Amino acid sequence: VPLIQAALPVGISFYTFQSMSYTIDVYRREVTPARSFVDFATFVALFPQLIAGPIVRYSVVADQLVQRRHEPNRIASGLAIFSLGLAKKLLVADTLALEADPIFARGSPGILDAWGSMLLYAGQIYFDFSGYSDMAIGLGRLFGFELPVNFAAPYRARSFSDFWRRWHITLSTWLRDYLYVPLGGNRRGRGRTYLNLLLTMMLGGLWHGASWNFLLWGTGHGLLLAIERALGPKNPLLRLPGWLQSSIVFGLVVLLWVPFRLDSPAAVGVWLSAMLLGAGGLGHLEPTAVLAIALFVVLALVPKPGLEWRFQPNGRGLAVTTGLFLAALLVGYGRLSTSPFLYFRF
Amino acid sequence: MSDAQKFILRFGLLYALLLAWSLGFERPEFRPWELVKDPDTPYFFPSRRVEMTEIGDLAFRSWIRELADPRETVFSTDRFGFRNPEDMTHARIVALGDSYVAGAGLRDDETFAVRLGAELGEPVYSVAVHTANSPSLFLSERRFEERPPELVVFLPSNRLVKPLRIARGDYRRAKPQPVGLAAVVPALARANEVLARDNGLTRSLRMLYNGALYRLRGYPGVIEVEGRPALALPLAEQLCFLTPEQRDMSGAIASALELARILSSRGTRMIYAPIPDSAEVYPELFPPEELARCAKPSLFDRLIPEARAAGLEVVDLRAELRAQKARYLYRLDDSHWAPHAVEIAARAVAQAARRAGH
Repeated sequence: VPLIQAALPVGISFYTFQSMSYTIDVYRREVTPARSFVDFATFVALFPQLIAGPIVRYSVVADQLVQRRHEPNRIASGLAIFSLGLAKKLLVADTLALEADPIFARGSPGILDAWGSMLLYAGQIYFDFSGYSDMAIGLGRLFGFELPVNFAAPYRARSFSDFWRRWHITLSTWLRDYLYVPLGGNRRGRGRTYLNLLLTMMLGGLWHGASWNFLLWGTGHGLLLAIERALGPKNPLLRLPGWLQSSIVFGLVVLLWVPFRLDSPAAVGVWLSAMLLGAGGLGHLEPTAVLAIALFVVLALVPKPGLEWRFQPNGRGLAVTTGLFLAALLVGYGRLSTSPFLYFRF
Repeated sequence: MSDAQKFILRFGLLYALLLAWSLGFERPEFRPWELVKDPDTPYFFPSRRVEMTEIGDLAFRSWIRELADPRETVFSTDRFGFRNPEDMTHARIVALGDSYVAGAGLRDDETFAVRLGAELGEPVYSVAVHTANSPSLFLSERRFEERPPELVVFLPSNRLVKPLRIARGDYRRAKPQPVGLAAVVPALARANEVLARDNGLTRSLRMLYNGALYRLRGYPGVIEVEGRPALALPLAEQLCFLTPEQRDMSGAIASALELARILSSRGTRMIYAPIPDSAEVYPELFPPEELARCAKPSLFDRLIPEARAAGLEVVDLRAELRAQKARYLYRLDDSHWAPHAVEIAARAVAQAARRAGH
């Protein structure tokens, strides 16, 4: 029987979750149903965040759908946040991808390029995704919407539960409220708590795409969360200095990105054995890739969270915003190795 | 005015200035081909003549100055939108094909139709275009039905060896262009796109950036040809990793047969001469580990004998090019063939054509 190759509409995972949260919240009588279908449709198809999140709850925007404030301060900060997001995506994420993709395409990595490529990918996915989220939040502000924050320096997390409070926050809270808690959360004994954590994260993995590699990624995170929960205060990580806790958590998160990035079981095996067992020898890393990794580490780990929200509409704010905006346009978009308009078949 | 209002005003002003500035830039044109092809129809713009120093499509994509091999070119079209002398309307021999036959990167006097004409001592009319549609365009023109040519040579390039829908159609109708206010939004959108994608400043930045990157660690797809670096179309884009089945080679042969059958009913003979990409002629120039992923047998390994067995009159251009490969047969910065490769192909096709008295 041939598989049905259905074309999925853009953003389906996001508006499915948003519609589900609306339906469930209305059922639970936590929100009052929308009075107008147009308001509901606006909520589901709100264009700034339709494609890549953040996942917005109806309760968050219910009032804003009816009444929005358009203030110069908010519009100015919206422009700044949008420019920051654009720069994150085009200047940082795409630059990291430029270094990572050839390593993935080449295959058969040594320990250096296996770790190097995964570090680059960890940076790419963070700056790509958080860049999109910032752009959505910035665009939202231009239209008077206040969308929820989606990332808070996740790679500085000191534990896995901390990581999930900082990474794709709107997804993790969605999973908590609509999956983990209804499954019983931590109210039905220890065993059930661990199982619920595991199930929630497995389904969270599947939300990214119905394939085994996302399932593996979700299962990995679920297991780590469950183990952390089981150890509680006896967790040996807690006795280490903060920077070491963060590094260990970061290292494990990077390992779990392997099945997320590589979709064939064989490639996942090759990468993990190169990273953990040195199966591919030492390998090598281009100097430009090392520079890119350094860029990522500086940008992702050093600044304190919330930097982007300290914007002021003064001369400095304007210089930073326009600087980011122009740099993103000129260097990022202009990078023609990804030239999308070049019709290359002829 | 508050700080925030000033901020918005300045940001908006900057954006408007950038937008206005970018309205002056068009898409970067690196070869006449891009100026002459009509984006709304399968034809070139009729009665055009473009002269320019061009760089190859691969040089354009890499934006590395050292790898570009600039060339002076002239590209002219007839009043039907094909690449022929302007007053030419007909000939006893017609060439069908895509960019290879139309001559992307070649001067008017270097195209396949001109070289074949020189070999045979009579003019050859080119119906090659910038899409895979050439056979259907030929069939849709009444002038070729009323006075059918005696010989049609069909030379699809490697990437366009695929099943074609051989049909007559109304291909000349262009999409209506918006006028008045309705044209403003697309124009602004286009300016926005140009602003975001490409202009003089981004081009110089890109050249600096990619040039530095190239010097630091090379650039994928660079091969060494006659002691100098050249750009080759990546193997994936040559469709090298796909098997003949995955490319539906049988479908391609079936549609060529269908074309030959229609032509034969008009008393026209057809020669089929698919054009190989560089990996079929120069596999040794590509990295062995990448080459190992190419399908075996390759498309041409099977296409030539199977097309012959199916009853097509085939010229094996891969064999002809391989036999004279000492001088590199593709452009150093472009995915298409070089002028002397066109001559080899024209000679081989002419030889086949003469066998039936042309």
